[in-house]
Amino acid sequence: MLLDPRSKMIMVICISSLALIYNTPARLLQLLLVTLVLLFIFSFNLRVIAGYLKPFVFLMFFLFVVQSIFSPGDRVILALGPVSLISIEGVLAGATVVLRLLVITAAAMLFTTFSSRDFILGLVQWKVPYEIAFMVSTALRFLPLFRDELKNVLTAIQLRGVDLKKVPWGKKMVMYRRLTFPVVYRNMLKAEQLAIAMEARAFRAYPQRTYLRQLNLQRVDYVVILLSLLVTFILIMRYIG
Amino acid sequence: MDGRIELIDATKEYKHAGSPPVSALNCVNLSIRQGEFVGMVGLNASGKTTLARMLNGLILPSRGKVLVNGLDTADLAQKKEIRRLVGMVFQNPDNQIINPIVEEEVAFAAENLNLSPAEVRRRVDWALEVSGLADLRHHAPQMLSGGQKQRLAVAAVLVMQPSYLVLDEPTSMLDEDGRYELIKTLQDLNRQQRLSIIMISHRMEEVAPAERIIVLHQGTVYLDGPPAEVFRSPRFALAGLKPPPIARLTNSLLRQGHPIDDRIVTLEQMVEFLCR
Repeated sequence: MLLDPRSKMIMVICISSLALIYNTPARLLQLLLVTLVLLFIFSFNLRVIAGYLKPFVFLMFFLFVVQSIFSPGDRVILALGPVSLISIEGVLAGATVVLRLLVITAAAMLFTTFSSRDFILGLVQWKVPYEIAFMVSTALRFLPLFRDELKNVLTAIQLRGVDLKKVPWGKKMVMYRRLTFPVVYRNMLKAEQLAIAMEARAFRAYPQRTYLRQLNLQRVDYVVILLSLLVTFILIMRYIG
Repeated sequence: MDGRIELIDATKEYKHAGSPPVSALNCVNLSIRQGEFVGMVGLNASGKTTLARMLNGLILPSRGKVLVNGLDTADLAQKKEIRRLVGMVFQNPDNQIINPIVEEEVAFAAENLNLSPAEVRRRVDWALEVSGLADLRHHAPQMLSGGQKQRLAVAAVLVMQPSYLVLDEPTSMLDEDGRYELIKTLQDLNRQQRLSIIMISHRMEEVAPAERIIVLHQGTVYLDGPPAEVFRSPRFALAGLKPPPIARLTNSLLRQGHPIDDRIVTLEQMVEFLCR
């Protein structure tokens, strides 16, 4: 569906707000289904969605286990002597956290349907200062660079004969801690080179700048924005009221 | 106003806490005319990058002056105009690309100059045309080859309509085809647009077609002149450099008494001479 990036940003904000406010697995599950329907409308298929969510599976499982164990509850499912380990309330709390993360991650996938340039343009046309919009977009750009840099460093370690799969978890954590410095340092060098290249291309030379392209909200965008805000407002009022 | 870049006793020292200052450039005096094609060579740490970045005020001299068309790079009020006059292209094209679409990447600098959208469009079209990227305007930069990416970096600077283009080892990450494409684009820009090219390179065959070669050695201008003279000079070897193969061939033939034009330093010149 051809929508202005700003309409999609509003949709993401609305869905994320609801995900933060809803506090029961049932509500969050409903919200997740609505989000998935939206993603299908924007031509995502299940395989693509699963691909995006895959890196978070371990984190979600970890959160689920931690929340299940550490959330107190009366209806105990598993106990170790007098100590209750898992309760129904704990499992529900774990499910709530995982579903919330799923909804927000799935909604954020809408950001991939437009370019970083459109993201900046959208924010600027909403009167967000260009420097801030540019900074946010550039910060997002550096996330995959961090991942790539870490991969390179890990490859370099493996080339020196270290089998990472055989390294015990404790040692692995120490190793990752030591890798933080070279990875951050190399990314800082890249950031510095980018900053110099931008400076050489008159970045912030003038207080104002122009844009080759302008985003224009169409009637459908106004409808989507108004509907998103209205529905979100009603749902929030009904939930907290 | 003078159409030239002048370095007058330009010195750059880097200070590190607890140790004496390290001199990267030492009393450099140099003048580069508008429209010249200059090759700049030297070993690592000879001061090439420092000098290149001094030309548009990215680095200011610790002592001495750098004047661009008469404007002092140390004068903050002139910074905008100096940035516009002297465009810079760096080693790694991936570290210079900011936007997700070729056309938008080229527009970035023109937009920063606060030009009207119509003027931005005109300049973008022109820059894409002269750098041979017009057909790729809607592509994502990541999909381009190394040579195309570096030509994109050149186009992204050309929209500012600079008088001088400084390229700091622009071919070091390119394959043979990419290097050829880029050098040809630069030669065309120099001839057709009268754009000054100041190219730093470690590859002598790339700077051989230049009108003038500057050799930097230990932060000083060690040699400066036409390629044939520079490559023949005994000081060239003393600076730890080797002439390109064709220049070596020409010198060998001259030493053996063959009647050959002593200005021949490139393959094209040699082919032209032999066909005559």
